[in-house]
Amino acid sequence: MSPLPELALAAIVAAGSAAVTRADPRGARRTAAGLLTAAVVVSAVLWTGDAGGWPTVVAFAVALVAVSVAPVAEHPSRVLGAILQVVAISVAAAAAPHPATAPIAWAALTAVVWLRLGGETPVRRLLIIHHGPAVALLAAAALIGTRHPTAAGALGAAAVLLRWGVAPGHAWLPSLAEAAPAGLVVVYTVGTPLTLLALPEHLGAGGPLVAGVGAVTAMAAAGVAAVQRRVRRAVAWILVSQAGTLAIGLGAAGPATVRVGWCALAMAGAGLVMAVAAVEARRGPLTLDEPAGAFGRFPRLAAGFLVAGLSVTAFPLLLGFSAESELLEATAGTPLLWLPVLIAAAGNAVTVLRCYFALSTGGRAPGGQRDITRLEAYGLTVALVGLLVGGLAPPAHRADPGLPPGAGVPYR
Amino acid sequence: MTALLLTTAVAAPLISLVALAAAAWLHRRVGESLVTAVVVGTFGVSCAAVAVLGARLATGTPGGGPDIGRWWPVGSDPLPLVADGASAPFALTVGTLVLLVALFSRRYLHRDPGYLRFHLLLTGFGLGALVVALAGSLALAVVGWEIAGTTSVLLIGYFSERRGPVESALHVFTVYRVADLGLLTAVVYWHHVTPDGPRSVTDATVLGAALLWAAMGKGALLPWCGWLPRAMEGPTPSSAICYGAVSVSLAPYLLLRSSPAWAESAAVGWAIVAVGAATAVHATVVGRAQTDVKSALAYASLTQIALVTCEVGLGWHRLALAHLIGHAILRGAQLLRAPSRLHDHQVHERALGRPAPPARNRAHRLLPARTQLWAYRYALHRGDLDARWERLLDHAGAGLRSLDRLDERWRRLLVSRPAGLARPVRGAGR
Repeated sequence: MSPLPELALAAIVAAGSAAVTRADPRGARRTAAGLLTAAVVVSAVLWTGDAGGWPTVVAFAVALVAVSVAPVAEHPSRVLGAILQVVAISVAAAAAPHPATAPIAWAALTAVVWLRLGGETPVRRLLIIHHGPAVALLAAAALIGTRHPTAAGALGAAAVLLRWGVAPGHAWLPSLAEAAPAGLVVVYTVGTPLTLLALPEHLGAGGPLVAGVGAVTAMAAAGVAAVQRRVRRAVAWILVSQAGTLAIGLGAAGPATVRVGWCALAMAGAGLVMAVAAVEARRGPLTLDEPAGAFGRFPRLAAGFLVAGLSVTAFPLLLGFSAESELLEATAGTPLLWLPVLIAAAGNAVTVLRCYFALSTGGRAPGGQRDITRLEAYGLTVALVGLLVGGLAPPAHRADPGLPPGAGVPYR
Repeated sequence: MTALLLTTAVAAPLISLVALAAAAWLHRRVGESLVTAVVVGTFGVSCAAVAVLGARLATGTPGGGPDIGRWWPVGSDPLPLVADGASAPFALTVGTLVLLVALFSRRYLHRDPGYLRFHLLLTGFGLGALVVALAGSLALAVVGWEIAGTTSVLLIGYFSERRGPVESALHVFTVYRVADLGLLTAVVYWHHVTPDGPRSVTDATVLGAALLWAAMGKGALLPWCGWLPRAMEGPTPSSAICYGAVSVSLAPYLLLRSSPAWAESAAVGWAIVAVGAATAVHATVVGRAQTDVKSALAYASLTQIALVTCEVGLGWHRLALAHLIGHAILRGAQLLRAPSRLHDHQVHERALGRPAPPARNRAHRLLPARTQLWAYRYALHRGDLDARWERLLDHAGAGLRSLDRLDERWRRLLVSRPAGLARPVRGAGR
């Protein structure tokens, strides 16, 4: 896709954010959803099939899920406006891949979120501690890029790991997930394709190190997620674990595998985080100690969470399975890398099911809570269709699977 | 023709699954009779397709199936469906049992609020089991294995307003995920380390050990036996299809189908026999002390599955397949009849005109008195397997919580200000 339409779309969304900020909360939600629906449709129609274009479609789709499912109490108009600003900045930066674009856009995104955090001083501090150095590393990589490509690659990789929340630079992610509005968390953590811009093509000798750090993060975070007591925090740790998986892909495979993984994580993460936010808006903060959901009352929220969660854990027929298959294929020669991927997926699956039961277990007719609204159903449908279509469709960047004849071994 | 029949056998439940899921998602009111008609019709079509395949096989037509694509497979291998002397009869059994359970559930779950959800999950389970049965590659078997496992767990937690079934579902799911690591390891190893099949005894041993690990979890073989009675918390029809008949049968079936991969390793064969034999002894001892019909049937089922596993390990594949299919049909029928057991007993006594004689089983009297006592305690506590598993999980949880606390300290360290820069706290000292 030519950068011009993407820049135009980003400009329209940015302009729309001003209107959304001034509207009443419900009107703002409808306007933002309409605007982003148009952006998804236009970007999908304009997409010419090249690998660089589809993260834009995904970014708009993730923002659409975020604004559609965003609970009114947690997301006043100015937060919805901030969500639109974040996606507009991300898409604009991705469309104009000048080396200077990424650090500037990155800093701007962080500033938007930082301003919306208000009195959450510790989280603001964590954000600055992690993203300040990340922006500086990225700027340094842009400055020395042509003269010292290896050093620039290492700096870029370090920045990307911090941005994803790979250990030990992960402390901001669970804190942000608990303190910030869910929609903003989604577009800032998993919904921005900005990190794809900064992916170094060749890490050289640093590749195994990045992959190793990712492997440790993926497994440890999956384990920590399994022992959380608050659902939001458990989901945040799942995102950290997935960030580790992306890092394995970055270190061992390359940008193409990371793009698939990012896409799967973005759509599934949006479904997971927003479904939890919607249930919490009805029933208060959810803990894993006491079941507080009600499947009979809002089954679609629970089902949406489950499908999104299963995608994160690489369930067949969903986009996450495709991404994990890519990663396993790339790391197949190194058991120390593919075993952590499998172990992390297993641990995350247990956490997802725990959270699902926390969301769905409880009395059949609790009363007092509203059923899922049409806009929420629309947002979750977008996420689920994305996961299903992405899981069943062939990969865009692999024209030829390259199977040698007779390579398969019969099962029987 | 073979390709069309194989595709039909799998595509029919997939289409029904999508249709039922769409109806549930769109909140459409679908009548019970329509739901039943869809599920019964679907598996009727699948059974007919597999039956025709079986008939063609009997007349000598090869059953090599279609490559259903290179859909993101590990190693880019094709994903073939295959009908042969083992897959066709097993798939026919699976399809028929799902069909019968759907018919049975029409009355059993009449007016249940989750009628559509149950049938949706049942269709998903049937699809997964059919894919495992007809899969011609391990990569495709994984797809069915995961679908069947997850849907069966959701069926255990079907009564989601109560905590018991939900906790049991989570317990079973945890075991499944731990065991599935073996299957996934086998897939990656098979397709990448030994792309043309096992090259050495070591390869065969690694593959066999990974597959045995997977089968131990799915089939509730030692040391994973504890989850099987818990899995009976779901509705009786799902217990019958999943844990009496089909789901536990997938474990020995996996070993049977993958036997070319580990056949060269005698150690794997004997390990399979040892696990099967130990499980059979454990299940038959524990089953004698059960006081409710579903648990007793669960252990009876486990005993037979363990014996089938032994047969697979010994290489008696035809016997194992016949045993597996016969057991699935019998146990499915017994579990479906279980809710009517008291009524059946009363009818039996009325027909006799006197109290029915108690069941006599004196085999245990052959044991010395002290051994009898030990065996009784062992059976009553189900070998303490559940308690040991819980302790293991507690230890793992404690370790992970320590990691979480360490992380919290790290976070606090990051957000704390250096002492010289500390701001006075507003309102302090009031």
